[in-house]
Amino acid sequence: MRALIQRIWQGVLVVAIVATTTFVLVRLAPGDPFAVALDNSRITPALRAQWRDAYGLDGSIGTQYMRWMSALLQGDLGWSVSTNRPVSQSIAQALPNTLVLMGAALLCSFTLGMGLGAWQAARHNRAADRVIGAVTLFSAALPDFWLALVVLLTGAYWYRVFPVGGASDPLLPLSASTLTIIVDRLTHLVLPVCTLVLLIAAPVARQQRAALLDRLSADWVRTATAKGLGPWQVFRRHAWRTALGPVVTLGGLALPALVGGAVFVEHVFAWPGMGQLAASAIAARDYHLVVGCVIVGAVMVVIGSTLADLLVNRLDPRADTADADRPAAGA
Amino acid sequence: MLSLRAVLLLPLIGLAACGRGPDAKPLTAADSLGGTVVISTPTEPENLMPPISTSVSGLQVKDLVFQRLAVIGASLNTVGDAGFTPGLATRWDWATDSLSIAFHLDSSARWHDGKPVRAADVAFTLAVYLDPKTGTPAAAQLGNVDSVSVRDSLTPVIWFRKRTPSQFFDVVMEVYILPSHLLAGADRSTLASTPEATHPVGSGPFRFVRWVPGQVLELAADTTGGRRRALLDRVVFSKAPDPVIAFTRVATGEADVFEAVRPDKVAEVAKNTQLQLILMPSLEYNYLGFNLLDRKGGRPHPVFGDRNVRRALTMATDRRSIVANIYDTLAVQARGPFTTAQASADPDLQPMPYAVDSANALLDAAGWKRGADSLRRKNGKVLGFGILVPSSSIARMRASVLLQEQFRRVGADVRIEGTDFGGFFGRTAARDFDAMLGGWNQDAGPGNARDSWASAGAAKGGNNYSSYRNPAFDAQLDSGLAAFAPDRMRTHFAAAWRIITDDAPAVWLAEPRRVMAVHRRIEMTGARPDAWWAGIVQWRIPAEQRIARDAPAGAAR
Repeated sequence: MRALIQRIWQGVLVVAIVATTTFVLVRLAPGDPFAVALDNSRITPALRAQWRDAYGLDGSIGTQYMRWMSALLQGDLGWSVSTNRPVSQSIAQALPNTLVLMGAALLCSFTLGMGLGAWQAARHNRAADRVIGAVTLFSAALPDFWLALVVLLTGAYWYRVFPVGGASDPLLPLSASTLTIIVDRLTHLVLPVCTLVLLIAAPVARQQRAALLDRLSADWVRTATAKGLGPWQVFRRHAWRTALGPVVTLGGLALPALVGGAVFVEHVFAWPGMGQLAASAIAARDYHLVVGCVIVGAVMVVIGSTLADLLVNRLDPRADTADADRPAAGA
Repeated sequence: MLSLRAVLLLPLIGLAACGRGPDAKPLTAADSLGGTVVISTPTEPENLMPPISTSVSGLQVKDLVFQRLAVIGASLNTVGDAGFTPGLATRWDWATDSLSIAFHLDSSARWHDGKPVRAADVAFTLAVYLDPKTGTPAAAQLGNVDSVSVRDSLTPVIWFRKRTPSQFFDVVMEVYILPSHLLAGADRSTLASTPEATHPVGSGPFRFVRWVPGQVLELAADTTGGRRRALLDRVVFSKAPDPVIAFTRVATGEADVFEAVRPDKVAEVAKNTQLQLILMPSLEYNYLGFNLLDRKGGRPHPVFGDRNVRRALTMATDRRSIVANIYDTLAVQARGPFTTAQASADPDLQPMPYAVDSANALLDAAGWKRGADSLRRKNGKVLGFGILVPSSSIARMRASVLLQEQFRRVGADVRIEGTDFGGFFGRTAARDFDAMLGGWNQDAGPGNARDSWASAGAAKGGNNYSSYRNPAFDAQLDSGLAAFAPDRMRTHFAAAWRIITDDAPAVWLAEPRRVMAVHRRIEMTGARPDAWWAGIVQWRIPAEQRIARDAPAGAAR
């Protein structure tokens, strides 16, 4: 419990440092939210100054930071200039879309990756293992933007089976049945999820395979086999369970993607999620929205890594023991 | 591959192909009314509050949901009221001294919530636009408006401080009439955060239905007002953040209109049997702007502070090949800081010729001597500079590479400084560049050049990024803007264009035409160079050509 509280405090500190650094860095970049409107020759310097003043973006970085921090402590993330609504509202609108996309993608990727890794480990050094190994290596090496475009071209342009993009059909009538709505959402999910699965499942499979091979050659596994346990029991109880650690850690690190989204995939498939929101906020120099997105992402990184650590300790008691056995500082 | 030139000869191009021929059968109501147009767009409005919505996406929605008192004609005349057609006002009377105009409102006009539109709304609207707290970019154009009086419930009278050639244009084209009954209590300094900024209530041909930011904005034909309703049932703006994806939606039939087809996609549109290619003039020009001051802003720029060096680089620029390489036949060479569709254009202006020998001679005379490495030097310093360019613009990136090579031939060492649009705009505003590849998308008014090239905008933060100053140019521009006779106006503008092109604060490169992909079932009419969507109220989808999404399915989700 004490360790958990310590982790929470560390997490708060990490989020505060990340938010502050982003707050400063984004303001040091060339441009500002109202400089983007420069292609309209009617917008005068005086008018821009008036807008900066109205949106609290006047004054020094220090002044703006104090203003922003005081609002943040009251739960106000600020006003997004590019989306013309409170930052919290913009995030609340994008977050569910990303959770759906990334949730489906991570679930499919980890299920597929863990299954493939286990299957490969069971067929170590056979032809099937080598073929799958080559395929996953190739898949892991693909650039996400390129892969997304290829999937899009194949599934929506050459073979017009799925929609080009978006989270739903903009013309779906209000009277549509629930089934129609579900089918519509699913058809829009297929291509971006497929892209993400191709990208994420490969490293998961490779991690799972390597961890399993390591465990299968361990002393305790040999002992369990010598005791007369069947191969499935040895595999499930003694090898696979302890080999989940690296995959769970990978999962913990992937958890922030649940909210951070996959920027390129969301961009290509016009998926209105957090990745796209953050990217457009950066392009528009929408300071408050950029910092808001970063805070949400940082919080998820902290939660993800904490959960992963807890789960690894639970799955593999050696990890916990190793921590406990370590001598305390100064001892 | 289909050559671009061959494609452009196809008869399907041009607005003429989209209208109904003289032999067409008379239309019945059922033939004309109905249908949905889905516009695929990579951008969306920042808000829908007319005085403070500045983007082109916002303008498109404002033009459909709200009304102006009158609308500019296809000739884009801005002097007096010639060519203007009725909007919210069915007619107007000028006072004999031209210091006031009485507008007679359409008595059947209704706000989309059912309330009648009255003269008080016009008075309220002008008060909002003129209030400094509102912070509207239109304020500068409305500085000549003195006050608004209400003669009766349907007749507002707008009073002007002085008689100017563009007083009518300024007041009718800048101002969208707002509902006073909904906005009277709103704080004008925070109009963007009012509910009406995201759920507008207007009196235009289309009423607002819904806006899901980042996804879709839907409008439906207003059938309650007394005016003739729009022929279409619905207009849906569907956002895809990547222009290529936005185009792909049209190519696959998911959407109907894409407004900015890239030259490399033209052949694909021409081959697509579901699409028609629409080519029309635009009010945009691209240019290579020189910073006449050094980056600290106080002293003349070490290279571009010299008029002869600017002229030499202008003569070293082969604009014909740049335009042909980037746009093929989808753009014309720009002659100066104007577009040919504008009333202030001078079609006879001869830009500086492409003459590398003359450019070399000018540079020699200016003291920039070639060294053994073929680069020019003066006082030990290389003739070198950076070209700032937004890296996401394919056309401008290509232009920067071609310019780099062309300037290398006269001994200049050019760095291409690519950055994102945010950085580009930030550095441009801060004058933190040597040269930059910019573009102006103008409105019909002749005053644009004053904002972007006259001395008034030269101070840091102003829109004259080159910091170009020439009192003779300013005087001719001002005289042109003050001239009532069109011939006299054109004479002054022509003189101004001659002065600025001789001074060469920029190389005006291209005037791209607007290339649109539009679904073949849509009869598109009434487009103007400043607004392709201007005639959307008359767009029609014949009954026999309608597809599933044209069915009157009720409100979308």
